Amino acid sequence: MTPRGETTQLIKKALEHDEEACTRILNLYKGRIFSYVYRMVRNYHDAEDITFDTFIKCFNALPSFDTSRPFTTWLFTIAHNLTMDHFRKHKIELEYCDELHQSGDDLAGEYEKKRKIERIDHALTQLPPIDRELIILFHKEEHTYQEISEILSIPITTIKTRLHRARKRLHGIVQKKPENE
Amino acid sequence: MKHKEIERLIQKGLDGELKPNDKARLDNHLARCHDCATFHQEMSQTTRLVRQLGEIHPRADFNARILARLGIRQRFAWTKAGIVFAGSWVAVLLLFTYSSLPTRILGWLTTSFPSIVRVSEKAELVITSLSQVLTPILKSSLSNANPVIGLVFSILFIYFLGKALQKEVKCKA
Repeated sequence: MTPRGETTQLIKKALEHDEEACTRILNLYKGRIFSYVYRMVRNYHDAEDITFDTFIKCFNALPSFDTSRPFTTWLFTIAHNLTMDHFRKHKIELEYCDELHQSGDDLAGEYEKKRKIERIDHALTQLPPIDRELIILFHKEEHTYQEISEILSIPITTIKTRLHRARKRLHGIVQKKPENE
Repeated sequence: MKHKEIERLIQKGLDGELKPNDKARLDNHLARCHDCATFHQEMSQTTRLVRQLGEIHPRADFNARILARLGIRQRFAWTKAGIVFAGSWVAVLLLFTYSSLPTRILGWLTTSFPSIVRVSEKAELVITSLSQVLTPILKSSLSNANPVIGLVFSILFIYFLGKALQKEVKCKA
């Protein structure tokens, strides 16, 4: 994580069209944004296009950015909105998707850490995008409820309820158990 | 305590919002209930593994494409150009002033690779012509230390050109 002071300095320099500052911002955040978007859309080229548009929008809107707000939250908000636009454009249902009830691979007997992580990554693809997004933002990106609320523009109570449901769904897929909701 | 209540506490724990007294209640139940303990362990492991998911990166030219779209030129390109230009300047200077290397290399190429003789002959013609034109100029310039001054001016020119271009760079925002 970057200290807010450093980010503010980088933003100031980026506003002065400093190439080094822009590159630093890109290097600091492109991996996180791309990973988040990729895990949402599950297509490398689409993810790259959305990440590209996210940063273009970010740099273009930088003069209007309120530096009292966390930069990461703002950036993720842009990425989230563009991802939602992508889903809308491709008519992808956010609450449910076709993959939801496909069976997951059995985790039993898989003790290698890397393999387990790969399985979790695969299990995530079987979650509806909205659940997947909450799991990634909270557990992977370690955003707070407040930050997620800002990014997704939904109340904290709703986020909590949905996150609990999402975790249970993910657990169900990983353990190959039917959901009991 | 009901299992549904335990599940709620487990979820709260994963949220990082479990109060000490609730934690004690949860631990107490988990110590006695195998099913809940397994569920707790699996849920914890699942969320822990999510945290360990690797970072994925876009293609290597991502930054360059963003900067190009924003109209921001990359500084390193000018630094590199300056180095290459200065290096080429010195190399050409030394080669044509003090060495018969160009002619020797050409001679070696024409004897070793007969198939490229025709190309070499053309190249030789070009190099000889260049040598005939450049050598006297460079030799006379060297005696006046002009190439050194030329080199310094070239480096300064590239440096200030780079700086000027940087200042002209504008975000399209």
